[in-house]
Amino acid sequence: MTSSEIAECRADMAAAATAVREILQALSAVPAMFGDHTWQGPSADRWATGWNARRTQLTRLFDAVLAEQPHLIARVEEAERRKAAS
Amino acid sequence: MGEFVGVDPENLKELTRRLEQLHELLARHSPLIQQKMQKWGSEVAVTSLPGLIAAALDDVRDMDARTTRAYELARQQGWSALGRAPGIPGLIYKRPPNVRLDWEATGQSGYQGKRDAETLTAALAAKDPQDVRLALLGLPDSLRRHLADKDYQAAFWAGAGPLALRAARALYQRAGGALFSAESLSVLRALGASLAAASQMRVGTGKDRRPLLPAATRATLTGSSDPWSVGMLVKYGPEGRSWDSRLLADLTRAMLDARAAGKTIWPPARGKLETNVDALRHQRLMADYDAVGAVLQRAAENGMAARHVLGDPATGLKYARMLVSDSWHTPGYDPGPFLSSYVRPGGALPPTGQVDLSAPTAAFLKAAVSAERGTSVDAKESAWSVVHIAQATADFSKLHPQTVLPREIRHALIYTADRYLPDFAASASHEFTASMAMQRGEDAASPWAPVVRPAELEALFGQALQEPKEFGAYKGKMDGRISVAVAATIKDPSDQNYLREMGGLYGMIQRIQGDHHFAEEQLKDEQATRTQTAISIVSGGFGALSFSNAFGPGTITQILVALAAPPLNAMFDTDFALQAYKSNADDFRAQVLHVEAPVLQGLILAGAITPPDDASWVKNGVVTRTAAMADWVSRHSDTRYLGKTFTEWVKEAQDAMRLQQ
Repeated sequence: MTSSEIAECRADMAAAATAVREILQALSAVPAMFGDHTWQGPSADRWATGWNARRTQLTRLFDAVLAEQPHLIARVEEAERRKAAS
Repeated sequence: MGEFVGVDPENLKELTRRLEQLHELLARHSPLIQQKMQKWGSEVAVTSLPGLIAAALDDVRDMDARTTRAYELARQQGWSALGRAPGIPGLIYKRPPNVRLDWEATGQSGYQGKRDAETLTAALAAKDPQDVRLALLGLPDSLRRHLADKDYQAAFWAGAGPLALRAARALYQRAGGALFSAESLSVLRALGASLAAASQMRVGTGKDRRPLLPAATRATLTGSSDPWSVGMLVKYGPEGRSWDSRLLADLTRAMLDARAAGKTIWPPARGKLETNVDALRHQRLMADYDAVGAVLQRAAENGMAARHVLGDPATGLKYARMLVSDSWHTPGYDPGPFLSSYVRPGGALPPTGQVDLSAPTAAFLKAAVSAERGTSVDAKESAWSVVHIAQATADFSKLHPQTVLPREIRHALIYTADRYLPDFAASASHEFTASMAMQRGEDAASPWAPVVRPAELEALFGQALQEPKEFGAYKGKMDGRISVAVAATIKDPSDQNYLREMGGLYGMIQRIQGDHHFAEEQLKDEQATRTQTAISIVSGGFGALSFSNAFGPGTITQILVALAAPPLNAMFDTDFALQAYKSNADDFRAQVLHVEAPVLQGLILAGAITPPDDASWVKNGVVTRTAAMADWVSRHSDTRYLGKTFTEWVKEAQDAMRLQQ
């Protein structure tokens, strides 16, 4: 590993994080339109329940991506340190 | 019927917009996120992501359909977007009232397909193209969103079929430079893409599996009274391989039939043609918006579609006769009205200003003969296409003995002759009484091969080869195949003698060339091209035979493929060769016309000769012409290899190549 690889890893993580945050923001904007001001009826409520379940899946997945990023960067940095020490 | 739900149309529309934004970001960013993370060894499981993105798209489609229905119900209740309010001057925007809709039924995309078909119907009823364009502004997005949606596609094309096919005529601009505006092109592209996607969809399973577009809808497509508009959907639709080959074949037949019947296949004339420039411009417009050419081009890109058309034993010849013709150009115009009265002769003048349109026709002919060789149905259709093209060419020459086909069409014939060289060699050497596609010995394991009557074959070559260089290139390709012919003669499990058959074809081509009475200089060009082509093939390593399964089911196919020369292309720089030849003719001739080397190569290929380990004239099985090779040959000229001496093999090859000692 070289310092340029660390920089590249950080840049990739930053690009992925920006994309993830845009998606999470769009995801959180949807439920504001749920409820009585848009619909009144159990069929629509059931649809919203299904949608919320999918939202949970997406949120969990993208949260995991963000949580993993520091570890990936640390792994690259550690490899660089070992290489410099040897 | 499902449960009714009260909805606020405006808020439902905003919900749809947010769902659309979410899907757009998911579809755009997910590949990037995955790529960046996996590059650094991410272990986050993303297998569920494609399913979640697909579900997000379904959400958009469903909510979009509900929104459309909600606004429709509001309008039915007397709502209008612009209205007056007490105490406020002028028009103001009014929110639509709450309405009740069937949440489940209107959430199905089939409903949206039906609604879009109705929108299209209403829009195309308008007389002014500008009104049509405005009414259809939202349609392309909806069509694109539902490209992979079977329910939507079925409903849309069932409702919109006949009208969608006439869209081009309703949308074209009556004046100005371009025939279609950017918005109109967007509609035509979306309709074309939708039709192509629908054509490939299948519904049902097992025996019940059938095309999504029912027969009645397909019949509407092919039986349209406005072939030009249909052609524009295909022109602006996707590339040929995105279409169902059967539908494209049906469309091709329909377009060719319409052309033959004199139906409207050209773009509409816009205003009176006042001047010669107007008339020329209109010819150019006809070429740019050539509907038949557009369909032929897509069928050629598809490949199988072209083979369905020309490879049908019952109807292929009819369409081949339409294609192998000198009529592939715009109709031209009578220049008389634009000439000064002083120079205008009496009576009608021959049409002028014709624009050549034979390129898509030639591409179609090439595609029709381009299936991979073998025992498949596709290979069978390809072989039948070859037969029909040869027959159609013979018919054309009989009807128009003095007419030479357009260059593009002739090159398609040369391409066919290249690709089926061994089959044509076999046909030239036997007096077949009927032309047909067949499997040798009626053996299902034998590859499909065209058999062409010698008279029809002669007519095909008589049209295809016109210039000295064309004769030279074709003969050069045969020369380049002599090694393979030697090997194939040995390896073919039957007693077929490929060398003798090549000789028969050489004889036929020599006779045809003789009829042209080329001058001496032209014959030099012919010889130079022949030489260079042969060198290119031999040194390019084309047609290598491995015989990994000698005498097995694939042997004959392998022989046929190896014997078929690669098509002429820029790889063979014959002009450069001509210069080289003229600058050093004797050396060049000596290098190439030595038959010993290709014969030796063929015998090695067939395993009849095993070169000694220390032979310097062979490397990795490829013979190089050196003094050591000549020495080895002179020492083995009387040695027998598989029943013939080396000299006898050389003599047979020379006879086949019509070479003088």
